[in-house]
Order: sequence, then C-alpha cells, then structure tokens
Amino acid sequence: MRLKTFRSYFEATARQRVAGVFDKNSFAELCPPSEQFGSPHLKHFNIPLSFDDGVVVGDVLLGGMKICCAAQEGRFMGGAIGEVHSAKIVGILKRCLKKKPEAMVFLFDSGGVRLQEANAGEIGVAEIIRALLDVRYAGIPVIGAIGGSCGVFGGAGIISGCCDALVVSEEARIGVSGPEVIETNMGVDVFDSRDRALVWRTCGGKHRYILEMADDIVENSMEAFRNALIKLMKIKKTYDLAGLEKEHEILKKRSTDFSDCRDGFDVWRKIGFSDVEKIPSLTVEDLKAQQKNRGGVK
Amino acid sequence: MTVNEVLNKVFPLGSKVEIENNIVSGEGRTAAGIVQIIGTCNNTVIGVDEILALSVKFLEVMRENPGRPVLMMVDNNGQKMALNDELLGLNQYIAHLVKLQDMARRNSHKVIALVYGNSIAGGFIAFGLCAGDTYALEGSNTSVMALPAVARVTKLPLEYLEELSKTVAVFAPGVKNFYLAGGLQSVWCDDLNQCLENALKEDQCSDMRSRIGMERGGRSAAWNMTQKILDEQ
Amino acid sequence: MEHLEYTFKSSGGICKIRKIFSIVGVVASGNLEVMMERKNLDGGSHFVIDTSAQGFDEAWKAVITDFIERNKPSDLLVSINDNAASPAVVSMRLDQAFEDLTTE
Repeated sequence: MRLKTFRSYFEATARQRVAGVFDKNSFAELCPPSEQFGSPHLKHFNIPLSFDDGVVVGDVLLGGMKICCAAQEGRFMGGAIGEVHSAKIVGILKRCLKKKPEAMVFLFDSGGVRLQEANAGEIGVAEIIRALLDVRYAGIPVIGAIGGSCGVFGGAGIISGCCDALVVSEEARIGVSGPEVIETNMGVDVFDSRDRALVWRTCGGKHRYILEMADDIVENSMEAFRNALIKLMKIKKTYDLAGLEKEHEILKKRSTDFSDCRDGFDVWRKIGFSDVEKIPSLTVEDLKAQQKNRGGVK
Repeated sequence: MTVNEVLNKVFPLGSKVEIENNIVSGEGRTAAGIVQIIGTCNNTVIGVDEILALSVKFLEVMRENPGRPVLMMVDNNGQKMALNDELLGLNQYIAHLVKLQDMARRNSHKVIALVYGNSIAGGFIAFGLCAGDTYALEGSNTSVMALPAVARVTKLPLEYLEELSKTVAVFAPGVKNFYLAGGLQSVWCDDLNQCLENALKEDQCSDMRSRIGMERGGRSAAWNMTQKILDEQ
Repeated sequence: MEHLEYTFKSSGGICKIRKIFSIVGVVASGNLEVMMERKNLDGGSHFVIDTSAQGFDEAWKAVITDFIERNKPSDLLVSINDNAASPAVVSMRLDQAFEDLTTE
C-alpha cells in the first residue's frame, strides 16, 4: 500500500507536514528516530514511548532558503512537551544562532506540558521561550504555523505568542486553558465545551485572525501553509522595547474594548464586522477580504 | 510569610511596597542601590488584568530606571481560567509579560524571581520561570499539577505516584523537585539578604538550567540532547 | 508494557534497502510506530517490539511471519512502539515502512 502524499495539513503527521510544506527531499533531520532518543520517563507510567519523543527537528529548505524547523506530533500524547521533546526544540533554536538560517519555522501541535514529566516540561517551556527570543533578538524571524488537532494550549500557547508571526488555518485553536477546563470552572451554562462552534468562536483560527493574533489564515492544505510561510519569512520584524511598548497599547485596548464580551460574535460585532453570524461559514479568502476592507491587518 | 515579612528579611536596610488588587510594587534598598520590586500576593490567579498591571511596572522600570535590578515576588495560584481571558487571547498576554522580563534582562536589568508562596503551572511560566534566574523560599511551593489531580488524569493510583515522586524528580510538585530538575537556581533560607546579594552577582547571560538539571540528577537527558543538536554539522 | 523480540534467519532474498531508515505511524491509541533500518544480520531479520497491550505474543508472531513471507526482507532491523494497534493496522504499517525503506 503506497504512502499517500497528504494534502490535508490537519490530517497529516508531523513528518508528513515537514515533507509536504518544505522543499522536497531537503530535510536533514537532527537526532533522528534511528538514534532512539525517546522519553526515559514514560515507562514509569506504562506508556509506550516514541523514538522522536513527538517532535521532529532539523535543517531544511523553504522556497530555496535555508531554515531550521521543528514539527510537533499532535497525535503522540497530545503533542505534550516532555524532557527530550523540549530539549530537541531548545537544541534547534540554539542551532539557529550558530547556523544563521533565514528563519526558524515551528509547526506547532501541542496541548502543553506533559503531565508525566511536568517539571521537565514546565522548565522546558521556559527554556524554549528564552532560546526563541535569543533567535529573534539575533534578527532571525521565528514563524509559527498552527493547524493540527491539538492547536496550541498551555505552555505551547505561550510559546506561540512569542513568535514573530503566526499563520493559522480555520481548524487551528490557540489558548491557555482548554475548553473543558473553562466549562469546569465557569459552569456549562456559561461555556459548553461540547459546542464546537462556540469553542471555535472563542479560540479558533478565524477568531484569532480577526483579533490580529495571527498574521495570516489559510485553507487546510500543505500548499497553502507553504505559501503563507514563504511570505511571512520575508517580513522583517524587530524584537525590541519599542515594539513591546506598542504591543502593550494594543493589548490594553483589546482588554478595554472587549471586557464585557462573552462570545466571538460579541467581539466581531464590536470590531465592526457586519453579519457576524455568517463569519463561521465564510471561506478564509472571503474573511481575509472583509478584514482588509475594514482596514484591519496586513 | 506575607510579602512584607519576606521583604523585611530580604531588605534589612528597608523596603516599601504598595499593594493594589494583589499587585505588589515598590522598592528595596541594598548597599549597592535600589532594587525594583514587582510581584503578586494572596495566591492570586494571573489573568489579563494582572498581566497588564505587572507589564506596566516592567515598562516603567525600563524607561525610568535603566539597569536597576528587579526582584519579582512570586505568589500565584496559576493562570486565570475564565472565558473572557481566553477570548481575549490570554496566551498572548502571558507572552507579552515574559517578553518584558526577557527584554529587561537584555537591557542590563538583573531580573530575579523569588517564589515565596505558591507558583503554579501557567502562572509560574508567566511570572517566575522566565526571569533571569528563579529562586524559591524554603517552605514555598512550585507545582504544575497536584498529585491527586495527576492521579485522576493518568488513572494511576495516588500511592504509586507518591512513591514514584521520591525518585523521579521530573513530575511531582515541590520546590525540591524543581531544584533537582534545574528550574531553581537555589532555595533561599536563613540569611535572605545574603541570598539576594548572591543573586545580584549572578551572570544572567546564558540559560544553563538543563546542564544544572543534569548535574543535580533531576534531568538526565535534556542537556546532552540539546548539545547534540547544536554540535551536528 | 511488554517487550517482545523475534529473529528470522535469512530467506535467501537480496537486500533492497535504499534508505538509512524509514519510519511510519504514530504512537497513538490503536496505532503504532514502525521504524526499519538496515543491519548486518547475515541476511536475516530482527523485530524489537515495545507494546502497551500484553499477552499478544502469538498475534505478533503471526503478523510478522506473514510480513516476512510477503516481502522476503534481508538484513532488516524493525523497531516498534505499539499502543494496542490491531493486527490489520500492524500489517499495514509494516508494509508501508518496508515500501518506504526500499524505494528511492
């Protein structure tokens, strides 16, 4: 049975995404699975390990340009970050300072810190953030893509917020606490985590794009992500105090503008979208056109 | 100990803070000069409001007192788990706050975090683990998730996890485990002023936590893994 | 968790391996990860399996024997992390990994 060439980004494994998004046959994996650096801890919990601990890292070409990449496997333990997983990501980030690629591209798909290795994961997240910011400070763009089954939550959500730019698909979700946690804390009347439409209006790709937390939104295909990443790589951003001051004003205004919002609909209405009920069924092209028309974003 | 009780021990030469909505801000005096104090108290949860208030303090110290050391007083019950905060993009707010801590360090401020109460999960990442160096007071608590909750999620018996946590430092709550894993530079006890003086002398240029974790035996794999990837041609 | 190993002598076939390693599948519930590499085994094959499903020694033997008969591998090392995949899924992954390993 032939291995299919996957077009769907959502359905693909991390390895298939690397093969489908970046230039063909250009990937040089570092610490490949043949070296068997799996988790030394999962055996205590009777859980099978994975030879790459759920993340693939290496050097690769994108549009002919040299980049470093990391791709998380969302279907292994929910993409959760453990000791080896985080160390591989820190490694590839530190490698950027040595190799000076055109960009660091991160294909995110993670629910956050791996409980079975909680402390290592938690510290690992902080180490990743620090190494990521070192790369940005050195003038190398760090671009993230989100479009898998886990999206980014917890520590992974925070890491994604530290990137220069993000591209999402409609399927993406970005947050800190997952929908079930919100429901548990606030009651099912306030938030029903089984209401998929509500969940996506709260933390899904379209909402994050409208809020300008993501720089681009694309359809769920390898090609679309590839093209978006190539474009985003070329936008030079600086990581400095002036930029953080600007970001502060944006975040302060957002919290004031939407302080009484309970739903994505409320936010989109306040922003000035007409016919907000239609937004969930819009194509991403139509949404981007509307976003441009009302003067938002890039 | 309350935040003021801790500060009195850390700053025998004097300190003064204001507390508003569980946000602590002020100054402490050392022989070498003033230290900016930015923190939280009362086991508060870290949500959008807290992040904006803490962020303002970082922006102020970078603008008004370049190079002044910052002591982060850490006591939180994790990230706020509420609908509006998630809707607004809490992850981006937390990212903003950690970038401010990082930028302060790059702009020659020593950024020292001291856990004196609790420091939990997303709250610990937002305000604690992204400082230049992270410390904890003896008797304080650092944790991702309490063991009974871990038992429920992993479906393993609590007694088994309690036994396991005696030898496997990577997963169970507690300052000792975070110390062994390299997450804490050291645990403060006895002369807290001396502890601060030592912290102020630390070079915060490189993140050596995974090597420290390997040396202490808490994280045996991470440092070598990172080095291996770095060393490949 | 159970650890299983199986060794097969040479079937007389030639080694068609074209890559350093191949890897297919994901260690998710009902799934498995199969990695294949070349190893000097005097033309034989060796399988190393770590599985969360205990007591399926016979089933593994059967699936692997079928795979050997179908593909006649030579100097093949197979490493598996399994999370309770069905024999059909195991069979499919073995074939996928071998095909990937033996094509350019």
